[in-house]
Amino acid sequence: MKIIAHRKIFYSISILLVAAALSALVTKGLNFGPDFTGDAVLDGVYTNSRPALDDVRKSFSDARIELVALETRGDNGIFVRTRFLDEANHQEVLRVLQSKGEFVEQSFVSHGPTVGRQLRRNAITAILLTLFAIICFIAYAFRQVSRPVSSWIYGLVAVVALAHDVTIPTGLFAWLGYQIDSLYISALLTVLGFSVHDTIVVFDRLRENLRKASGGSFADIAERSLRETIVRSINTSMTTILALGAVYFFGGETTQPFALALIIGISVGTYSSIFVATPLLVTIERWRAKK
Amino acid sequence: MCIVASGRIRAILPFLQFYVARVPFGAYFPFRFFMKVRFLALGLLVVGMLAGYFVYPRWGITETLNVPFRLGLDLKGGIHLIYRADLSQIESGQRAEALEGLRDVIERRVNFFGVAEPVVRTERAVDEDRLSVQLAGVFDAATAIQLIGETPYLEFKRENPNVSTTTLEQNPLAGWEPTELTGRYLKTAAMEFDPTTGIPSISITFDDEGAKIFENITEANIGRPIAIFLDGVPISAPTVQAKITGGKAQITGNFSRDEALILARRLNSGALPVPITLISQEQIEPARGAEALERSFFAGLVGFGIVVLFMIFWYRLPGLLAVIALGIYISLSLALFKIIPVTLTNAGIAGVILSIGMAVDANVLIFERLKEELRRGRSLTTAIEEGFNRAWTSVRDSNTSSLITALILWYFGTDAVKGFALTLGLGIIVSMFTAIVVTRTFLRATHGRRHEAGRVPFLYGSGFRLH
Repeated sequence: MKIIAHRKIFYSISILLVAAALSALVTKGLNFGPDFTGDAVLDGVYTNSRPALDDVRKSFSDARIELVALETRGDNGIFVRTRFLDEANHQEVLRVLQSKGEFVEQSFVSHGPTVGRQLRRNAITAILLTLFAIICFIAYAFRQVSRPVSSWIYGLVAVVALAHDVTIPTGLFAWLGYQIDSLYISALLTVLGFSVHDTIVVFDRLRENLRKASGGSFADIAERSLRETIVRSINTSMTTILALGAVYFFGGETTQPFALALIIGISVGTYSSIFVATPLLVTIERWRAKK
Repeated sequence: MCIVASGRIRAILPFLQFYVARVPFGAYFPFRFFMKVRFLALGLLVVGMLAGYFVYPRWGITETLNVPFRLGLDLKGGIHLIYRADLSQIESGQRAEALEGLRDVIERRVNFFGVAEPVVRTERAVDEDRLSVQLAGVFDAATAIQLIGETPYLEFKRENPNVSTTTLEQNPLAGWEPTELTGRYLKTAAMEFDPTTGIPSISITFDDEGAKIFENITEANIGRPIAIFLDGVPISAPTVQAKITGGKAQITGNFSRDEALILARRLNSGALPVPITLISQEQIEPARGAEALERSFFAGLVGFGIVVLFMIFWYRLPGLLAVIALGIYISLSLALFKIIPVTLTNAGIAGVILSIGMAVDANVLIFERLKEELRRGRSLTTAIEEGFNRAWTSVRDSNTSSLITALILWYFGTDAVKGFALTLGLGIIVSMFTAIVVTRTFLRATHGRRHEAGRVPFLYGSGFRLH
């Protein structure tokens, strides 16, 4: 099957996925982690048996502690999320939990609102800065191939593919109700790095083939470059996804969403560098030629 | 630049040329060079094994060589506290210094816990200054917070002449206004007994700067009281009789002997130069940490195993060599984590696993090229060299972009993200070395001349087709 000739089909698939992701984002919204909102999260287990959640909820309202979430974890585990707690309030929460049975606290995290605000700002800065740095780097690395498409367009196209790769897993997380925390942000940034990896490998081959200039249209050369790199792209993503699959299945609860974000992001990233980025170059080239 | 080539340099030069410059060498390269490549390959293997032994020593290790991994709080368990430091009372020029002082004081307090490696550091957030305290292996957060946070904050205040009597009745504390003199200028504190009454008091000595300030304040307030506040509460307000030089002052109050002793000790271990507020707290139990470590380790092992199987089945002999190079890569990077030392966290281990994927990528790129060149009918020797040379630009460019990402992550990330970025970044650098230099040396060393006749193309083929 010709990739470039059928590019509209691949564009449609991407547009559908992005639209689905965006609608999930709009309808469900993002579930921000305690580090971003400035909340407190307490995890622990009851040694003997766990009291009913409604019972615990009532004790919290009696103690005038506002709950954001109260959930069960595993057999006898419990998960409490509230607004930021200082140490005195933390002890109060513990007293409430301990009044219901023998309770062992396993982890406690409480971030003030200023910490959350700073984290959000840093996350956004990091993502924007990475995108910008990547455009500049690609424009520089491909500066010798400014015909028929300027090297800045290469950078821009790579970033369009990246935006696609960031939107889809984020939409999935919104839909699943998974937490968006700083670990998720680092997963996203890794996906950015990986997707650019893939895109650059195809572009690199395109650069080489253009230089050889053995005749043929830009579309033909792009098609050939894609075919020459597709095995590598899929093999690399496969090995990485397999390794991440191990993290997903055996890595424990905290790293599971992280691994999922990476698996989805890298799959989508591989798709976009083969079926979106290079075809887009051809579309832009055609469009310019017409003008 | 002129280099006088000694014998040794001359011996190394051919290697440098082949690795640094892209010198194409065909089937003609000399036997002597070939033997050298085998020695080099052996050397790389030995280095890898030594690194592996350093990472996971089993026998005959000396104390100095047995360096443990440094584990983060999420793997070891412990407490992480973040405080906001209120520097509004400090002149802008002296803030950095005050913050350093604060860190030193907290560090001294934290040392009471006997933690092996307490981490206390200052952080500049966008609109506030912070102090981050990490205590690995400490689980009693309440006590820790008390010991750190309840360090007395000492202030000296003078009478505020502009306060009306009505406000004073409503709020007696409004009658005092702050002076420059705080615990920041304290040198020592000691408990003393009044020789006649036997009532305990605390004598304090200021440093040179503090002594001067104290002199000025006492001079300006003769006949008026100066109040001594501890943690925002006035404890005594003696009236100034005369200008006091030499920087000594006495705090009297209704102290019992024990109270005075504890207060003096706390003041000594450091009165906080600026007030602090706890704004973030994390505590992880050891069981949770150990479980996470075990799981991360297992996940890494399984991930590595899958990659090994894939590489050997798909790329055969080069795949096997790449797997050995991958083994060297893992030993080298883990050894590096021990030496630097890098604090390993859950996210950091994920970074290591991910960098394994990236290390494999470089080899996949090279082997796909090698296969292509073979299909074009090149000889094996040429195909190997061409494969490396042509794949180099994409390996270089793609890894550079990943390094840029890791750098940005490291700069903007929280602790967890920083750990991830650091292991990923180091991993990329080490993997570039092993995937290119090590794999190439191994390939050169194994293929030998007899392969040239094309007797064993299967070994260099790939996929499920038999060439």
